[in-house]
Amino acid sequence: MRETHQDFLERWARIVRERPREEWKPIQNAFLNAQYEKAVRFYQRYAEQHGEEAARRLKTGV
Amino acid sequence: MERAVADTNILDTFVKDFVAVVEPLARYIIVSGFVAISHGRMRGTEDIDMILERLEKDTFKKLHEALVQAGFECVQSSDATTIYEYLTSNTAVRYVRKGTFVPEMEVKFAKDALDDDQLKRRVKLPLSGLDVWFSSIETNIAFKEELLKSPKDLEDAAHLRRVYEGELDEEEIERVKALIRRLRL
Repeated sequence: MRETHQDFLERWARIVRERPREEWKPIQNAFLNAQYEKAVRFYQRYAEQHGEEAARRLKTGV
Repeated sequence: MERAVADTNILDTFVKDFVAVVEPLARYIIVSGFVAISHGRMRGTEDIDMILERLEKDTFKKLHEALVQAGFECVQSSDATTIYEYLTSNTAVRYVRKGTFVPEMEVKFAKDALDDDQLKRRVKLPLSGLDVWFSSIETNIAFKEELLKSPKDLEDAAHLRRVYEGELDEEEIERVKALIRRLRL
């Protein structure tokens, strides 16, 4: 049966709790860095099209 | 090379660099989502939340200048007096590395007895692998379950409960929840 989101959350928390940090931390790092790169690329593209100030407003609402 | 990339992540590095500037000048805590993420929670964020003790204007100016010196900039303004006015009117201000959009450190001053309580009881959390002051796990769970309550926040709280299973002080969680009900709801 396919793992649900809830199943994944529980399984991952168990891994973090029970397994050595060296085992799970690189996986999490790769995920976080990929998310970051994706966000950077998006804001850069948006800034190229609409200007840096518009991108800043989009990000912060300021 | 792949391994070297995965040895650290951008959020940890950003927090460590920012905190290194704040630490000598002000009492602070990191709160909310990053607490769960630094305990392995698998979700992205662009914002990290920091609560600062209420500073005198001169001290804040020193802090702002030190942050600028270290390569950070405030998104709302480059003028320390203006930023200080935001903070004293309980508006959060955002710092990024100069010329970037993400990640952001969202900084606010302690605004009530609940924030003072969090600052007073701040802790370092070895499981995070970071030499950084956090609000306690119990406090974070209480905020997420009693005040914030979005699906993401409830999943953060559930993650912290699983990681710290058998080690949590439930009376402390209830004490903070009572404070939240009295001061924030």
